[in-house]
Amino acid sequence: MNNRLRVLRAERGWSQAELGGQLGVSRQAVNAIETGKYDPSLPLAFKLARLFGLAIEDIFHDDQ
Amino acid sequence: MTTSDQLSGEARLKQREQRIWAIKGSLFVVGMVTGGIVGYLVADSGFSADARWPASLAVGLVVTYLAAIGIGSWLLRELCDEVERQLQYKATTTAGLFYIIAYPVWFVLWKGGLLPEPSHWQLFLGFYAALLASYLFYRYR
Repeated sequence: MNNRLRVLRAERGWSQAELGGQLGVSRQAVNAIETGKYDPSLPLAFKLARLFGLAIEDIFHDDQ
Repeated sequence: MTTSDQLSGEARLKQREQRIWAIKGSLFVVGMVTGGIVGYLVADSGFSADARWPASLAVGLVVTYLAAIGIGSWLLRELCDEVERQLQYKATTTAGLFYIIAYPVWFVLWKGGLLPEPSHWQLFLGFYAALLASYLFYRYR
């Protein structure tokens, strides 16, 4: 699954640690999501969407 | 007093990491103290394969071990995020797979006279080696 997380984070000038702290996850977790190594759970995806004020599908999209 | 909600994300993350390291540090101290006590009590012959340990020492070690594992896991579970949890699940599954393959194979080869009797120490250490190797693999691949 691809995502725009790195771009959205950069637009707000947040570090991975800042985003991780706001989400309640580690910096490594943010990195794993950004690089596509880990697909977040639905609760975490909703949390991300709320934080950025977007819909989940505006952040994540599948490869097909 | 500053509440967690008033802190920046980075400060909250730092606070969380400090808690995690405090728990890990406490478990390390418990392990060192316990190991020191065991070493002091049975240093003369307690580490030979045939040596018996006092029952009170054995019970004390089991209680300490179960308390440390139980309380430590519960506290860390509260602070652990879903990525870390998935890493732990994968590593534990790989290590379990190592054990359920290694033990029967070794047992059967021992029965066939091809290997010495299975060593619980080596199986235990092998389990931990598989746990560590698979954790590092999934984390840094």
